[in-house]
Amino acid sequence: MLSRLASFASGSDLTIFGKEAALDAAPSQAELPIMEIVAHAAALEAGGDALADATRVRVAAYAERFSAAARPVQGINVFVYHVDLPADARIDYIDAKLSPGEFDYLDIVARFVARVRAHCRQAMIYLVTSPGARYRELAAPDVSVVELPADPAQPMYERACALLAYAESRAFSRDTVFLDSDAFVNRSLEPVFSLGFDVALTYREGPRLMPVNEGAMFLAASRPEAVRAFLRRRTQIYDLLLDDPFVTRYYGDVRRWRGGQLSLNALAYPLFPCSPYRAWEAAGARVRLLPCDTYNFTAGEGEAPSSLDRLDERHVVHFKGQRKYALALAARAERGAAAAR
Amino acid sequence: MCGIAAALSIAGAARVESLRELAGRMARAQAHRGPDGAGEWDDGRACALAHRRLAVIDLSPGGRQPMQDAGQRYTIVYNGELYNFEALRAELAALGHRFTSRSDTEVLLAAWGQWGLDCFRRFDGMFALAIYDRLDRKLVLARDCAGEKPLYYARRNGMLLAASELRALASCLPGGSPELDARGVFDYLALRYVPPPRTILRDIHSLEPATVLVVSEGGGEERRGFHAFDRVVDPPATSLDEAADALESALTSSLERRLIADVPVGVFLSSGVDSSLVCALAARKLGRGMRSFCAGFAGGDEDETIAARRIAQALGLEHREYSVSSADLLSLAADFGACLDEPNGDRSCVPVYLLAREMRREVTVAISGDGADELFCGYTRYLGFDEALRRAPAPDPRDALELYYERALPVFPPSTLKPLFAEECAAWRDDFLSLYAPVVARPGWSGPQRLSVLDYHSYLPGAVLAKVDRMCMRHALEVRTPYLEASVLKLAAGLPPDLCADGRTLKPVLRRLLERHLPAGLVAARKIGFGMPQDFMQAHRAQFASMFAVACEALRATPFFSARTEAFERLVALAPGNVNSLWAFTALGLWAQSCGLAR
Repeated sequence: MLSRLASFASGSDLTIFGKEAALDAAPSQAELPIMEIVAHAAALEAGGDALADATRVRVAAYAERFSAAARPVQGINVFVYHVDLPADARIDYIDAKLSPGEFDYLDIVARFVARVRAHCRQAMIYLVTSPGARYRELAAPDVSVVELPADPAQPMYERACALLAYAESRAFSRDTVFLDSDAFVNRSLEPVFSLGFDVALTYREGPRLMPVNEGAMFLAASRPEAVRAFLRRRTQIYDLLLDDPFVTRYYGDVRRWRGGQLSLNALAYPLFPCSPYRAWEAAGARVRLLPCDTYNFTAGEGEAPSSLDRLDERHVVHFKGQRKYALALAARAERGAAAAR
Repeated sequence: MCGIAAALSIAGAARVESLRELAGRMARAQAHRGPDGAGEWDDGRACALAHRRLAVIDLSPGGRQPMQDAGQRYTIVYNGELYNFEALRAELAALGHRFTSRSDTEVLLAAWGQWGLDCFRRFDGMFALAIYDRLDRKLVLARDCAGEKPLYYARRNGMLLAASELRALASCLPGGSPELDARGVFDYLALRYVPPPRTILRDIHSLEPATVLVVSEGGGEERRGFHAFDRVVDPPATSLDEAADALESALTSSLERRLIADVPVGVFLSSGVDSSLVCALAARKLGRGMRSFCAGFAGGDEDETIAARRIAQALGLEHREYSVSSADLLSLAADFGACLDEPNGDRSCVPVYLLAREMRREVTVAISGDGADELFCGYTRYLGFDEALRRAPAPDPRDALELYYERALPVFPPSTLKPLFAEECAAWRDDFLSLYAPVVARPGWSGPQRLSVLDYHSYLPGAVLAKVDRMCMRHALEVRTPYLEASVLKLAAGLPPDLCADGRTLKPVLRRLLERHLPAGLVAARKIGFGMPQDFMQAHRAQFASMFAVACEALRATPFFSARTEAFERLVALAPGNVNSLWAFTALGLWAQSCGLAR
């Protein structure tokens, strides 16, 4: 279905690959069970709780930017990070492949902003991007564009640092939803914060999927130190992954991709198997795991059946990977309708 | 099936003599759980374990506990049964393990040594256990998926103490039994049980189902889960007959494993669908002619006995009936509180207790239909929830759940408790209701599906399974629950809404399957259950009033209620408002009296 959608939207033949395909056509190495990789990452031990020097300096500098960008707000905060990958920076990992250049991300982020406005009244969006990026045109009273001197070729690492920096800044004064730029708000998200947590993560099931998806996170502002401790530990694990021989041999450099999700799963590993009806602690924070089918919905992901019925009951609808062609299709249809008028 | 006890010194704070003495005392206080043997062990330094044995499989001394592995690294005390222990033993033998007994305990110990924490995901069974690791110097406590077997623990005076029963642990705590816990009391009054990890007593915890707690001698704690039941969102379409076929296969297989025992096995038979189906599959599919047992109420208009008798006749079962009488109530009034390990306001505690006593004269193991109502949506109270949500859509999902407890499951409605226990009520909303709020948000679930998931995680372990374990283990009767097996759980989780409740017909899949094995007239139209009927309570109101008066006096004399006289008098006035609150308050008072909490 995804392949047909992609071809229809792009006007050319496309093949689905990576996690969306049953198996890669010509894998260059054997794919390991995903939980073996997560378990390995979870077992990494740091000698203390300090971040690596480069990360620490980066986070401190970014936190100043966020504090400067902080605005008073009545509703929740929404944190979204998006930079355009350099043209030569393909995402080509053994279990994750993507050609981001195929999509119009300015249109996607604009749609993201519109969805937040539609469902989360009085929310403040922190749109984090690179200096001078085209996304600054989306700045508005309810959209604070934060330009960070981040390396666009390593977006996941930079995003993890930016999120920690945000949590350590004055901007983190309200309950905050962290979302991928292609994870669209579909219901009011304020009630989620009544579930009693410091950090809520979203999970799904599938043999080739890490249980926790990084694309939607809920950070409660009632105990900010607990959230900071959680994100600091997560970033520390990210640092460990960068130098770990097993991870680098298997994935290569995880600054660009995989590292954000792997570090989060490593931290959540003691909480598996995931259940929405448990509230446990990780890194000093009260953590809830919420099902993606309700709080971070991706159609047709993993082995679980999914339906587009009752879409209005999903809190966030996530257009992961090739599903973004649906947005391209919508954009084409809207342009056509506008031209006809 | 047994009683277990463990004592661990934290940071060298306690002497082994104290640990040994405490573990032994706790085990002796649970002697009713295991009349067939007793054992004690300590490592001479920091840990003591004790056990009371009810021999069910491998009656020889080979199954004696505490048991050590060959390398003497691990020592275990364990209460429960592993129904797949033979398959596990073969797998472990292929990995090089050698076994000297037919006991499932030895298999469990080897599985722990082989797979560590992952072993619990492989078990089909019910269990609560303590394993001491001599090398890593840590004590492992674990409890089965649904919470069939109990396990309580507390820290006191540099020790961690654990036991199968709350009273055993409380009575042995250095410094004396703790007082009533305000939050525990609120939970009990609102729900008729106290959900884990809290208990009715301050500082004593109940290990949550499907949880492993690892406590190191340094004092550190690590908590892990090993199972997570939830319903599927967007389940694939399936027909009623396809679902009934799948259930027949899964349930028969589960039942077959649960019928393995070296002692006589019987079955609880009410006229309801759940136990009837278990009996039907045992008789028709497995060719097992078990003895069936049913309880009724003398002088009551509404009970199970006549219909159950007909079902037993149709299936060719050797059937026994027990009629709860006035004399039973009189005799119970004196010591019922002592039979309740932890207060349980379920009105069926009394008949289950009495029936288990009679059953134990003939059988050592009993099969029950517990768990089916939570898995397959069997409670009539579920039916109004969709309509309630439609009429009063609540932006905060906790409001919807509070409404359920207010209207559909009344003990003391939360709104009446709020002025009396303001802080506890707010905390209940912030943790208990928040914890289960996601059931209200799941796309496409029906009201019965939402509430049944809530009940599976809270009411089933807190009230139903606690009742079954305590009332039956009081007489050393082991109860096995074929519905609470992994493949049955998976099947139930994947059912679409209309196969959980079709209009006002609950459990349609179980009904369809039962119709294949029983004449249509014998498939119960509605649930009655073993609970004391209102007309029975009305007919014996003098006895119940007397028990209530005793209970009130006992509670009034507790330090907890002495300090809350206004709340207490209000509760006394409210309790007779409905049979649930009346019985729950009576049970709490009788329990408090038997524990010596009244001063």
